[in-house]
Amino acid sequence: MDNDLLLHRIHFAFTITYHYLFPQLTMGLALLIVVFSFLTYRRWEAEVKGLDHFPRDQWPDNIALLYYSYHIMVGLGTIFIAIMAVATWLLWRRKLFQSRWMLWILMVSFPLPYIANTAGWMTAELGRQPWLIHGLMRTRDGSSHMVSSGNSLFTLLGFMGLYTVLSMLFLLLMYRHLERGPEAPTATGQRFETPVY
Amino acid sequence: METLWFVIVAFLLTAYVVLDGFDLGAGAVHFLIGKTERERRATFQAIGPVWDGNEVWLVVAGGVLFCAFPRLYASSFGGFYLPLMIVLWLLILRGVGVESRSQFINPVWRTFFDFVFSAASILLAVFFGAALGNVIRGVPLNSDGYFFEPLWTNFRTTGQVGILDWYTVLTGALALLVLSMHGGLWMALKTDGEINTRARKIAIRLWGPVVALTGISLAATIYVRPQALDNFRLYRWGWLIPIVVVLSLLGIFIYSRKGSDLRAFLASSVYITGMLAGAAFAFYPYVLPSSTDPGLGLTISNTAAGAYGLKVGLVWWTIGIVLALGYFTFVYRHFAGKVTLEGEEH
Repeated sequence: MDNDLLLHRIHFAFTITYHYLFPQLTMGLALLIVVFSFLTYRRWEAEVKGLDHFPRDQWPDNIALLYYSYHIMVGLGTIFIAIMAVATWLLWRRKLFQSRWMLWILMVSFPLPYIANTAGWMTAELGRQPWLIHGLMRTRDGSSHMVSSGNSLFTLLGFMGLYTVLSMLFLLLMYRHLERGPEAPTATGQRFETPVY
Repeated sequence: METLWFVIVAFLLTAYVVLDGFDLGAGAVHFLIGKTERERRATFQAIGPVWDGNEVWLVVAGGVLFCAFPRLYASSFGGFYLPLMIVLWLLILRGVGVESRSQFINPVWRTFFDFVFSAASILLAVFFGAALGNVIRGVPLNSDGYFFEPLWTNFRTTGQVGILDWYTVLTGALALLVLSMHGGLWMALKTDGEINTRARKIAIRLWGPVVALTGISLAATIYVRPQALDNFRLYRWGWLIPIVVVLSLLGIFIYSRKGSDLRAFLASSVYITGMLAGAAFAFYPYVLPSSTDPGLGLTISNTAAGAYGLKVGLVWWTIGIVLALGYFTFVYRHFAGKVTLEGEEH
């Protein structure tokens, strides 16, 4: 009986969270469609064609991933606008460095641009499929025929390995810099960038 | 118009080899010049401000190649896929080595990244030399103009050729020696005292092998590609180029013995320019000859972009190169003079 209750509570929490986030994302998308359709066609009455207007063989491969990437990017973008608007207002009122809650929000949201950026690129590259050059060349026609898949796999693994090592190096350096904290300013107020231990 | 773009691409590639060549060369001789941790800083003081901009000339050359000779770009970047990827990794590692070494004041850390920097520089010099060797020797193009070369096959220059065979290994070795000498001369130019003496000595010691290998590789080139001499017979003024090469080699020797570091370095730059100009002159109008059937070779006519594109590109390229040369002059003027070991860490 207890297990059932717990399961139901978890289910309820997920449902509420999802329904809380989803309408905002959709409403944001609706506003963007209006704005962009105007920018694209320069008329309020222009029709933006949905996916069902295009033949099936011209659809991108992974529509769900594309959809969520786009919404994540736009949702985060909206959040950034809100955060920065409030932060700018506080800065203008010279209250920014005293409002701990705002400083916390700013600090905690530092990974969000990376996520938004990646989601945006995923949107672009997933959304362009199946076209490499829209209307002219499909992705599968653009690959080098002479380069066998074994070579591609070799270089893909090579890059993954190299980037993994570089990411670890990056994290190490970031951690050490953060651990050190900001430099205490000298008597003249200058700060010098010195290597960390 | 195609000939003009051929000259432009050759100029950009030459600029890259002369500029990034001294960075790579400095990396190659890094451990020979700097015996202590303090002395090794000299290398990074000398190339630190300029290495990144020098590397950009390679990007420019690639971009211009894409614009002016798209079929050559398509064919060669597919056919040379493996060595190009390896070159990419080496360029990344070289850059990481330069920028990470001073992040921790820890001898193991520094030596490790110094090693990464030096090893990547050496391998890059070899690969670039081998790349030029491949272009001269020719590649197995099929009737579509495409090819693919494995890293090596049987080390012979005919039949199923690979990236590495005896000829391209020879050109790779020559490139390593030349760029090491070039880098040593740059280090001599930028330093004084003990390090200056050491760098100059290394450059002078490399001079002999460079001369020897220049002669050997010239003979090997004529053996591998007899058509190389055709343009020299057609256009007699081309003989100016080998004369310039010989004079510049003499110049390197004389000036570095005398201690005129700037003149020695400039002579070395002229030598590299002469060698590359000679190569470009020799295989014009081919941009990528075929090792199997001469008729299948890629020339400037069958790879160039359309006339309109070439014309518009010329306008934009001129604007860009003026900006680039302006900034280049500013940077080198700003960082002119000897480096001091006591200065700020780069």
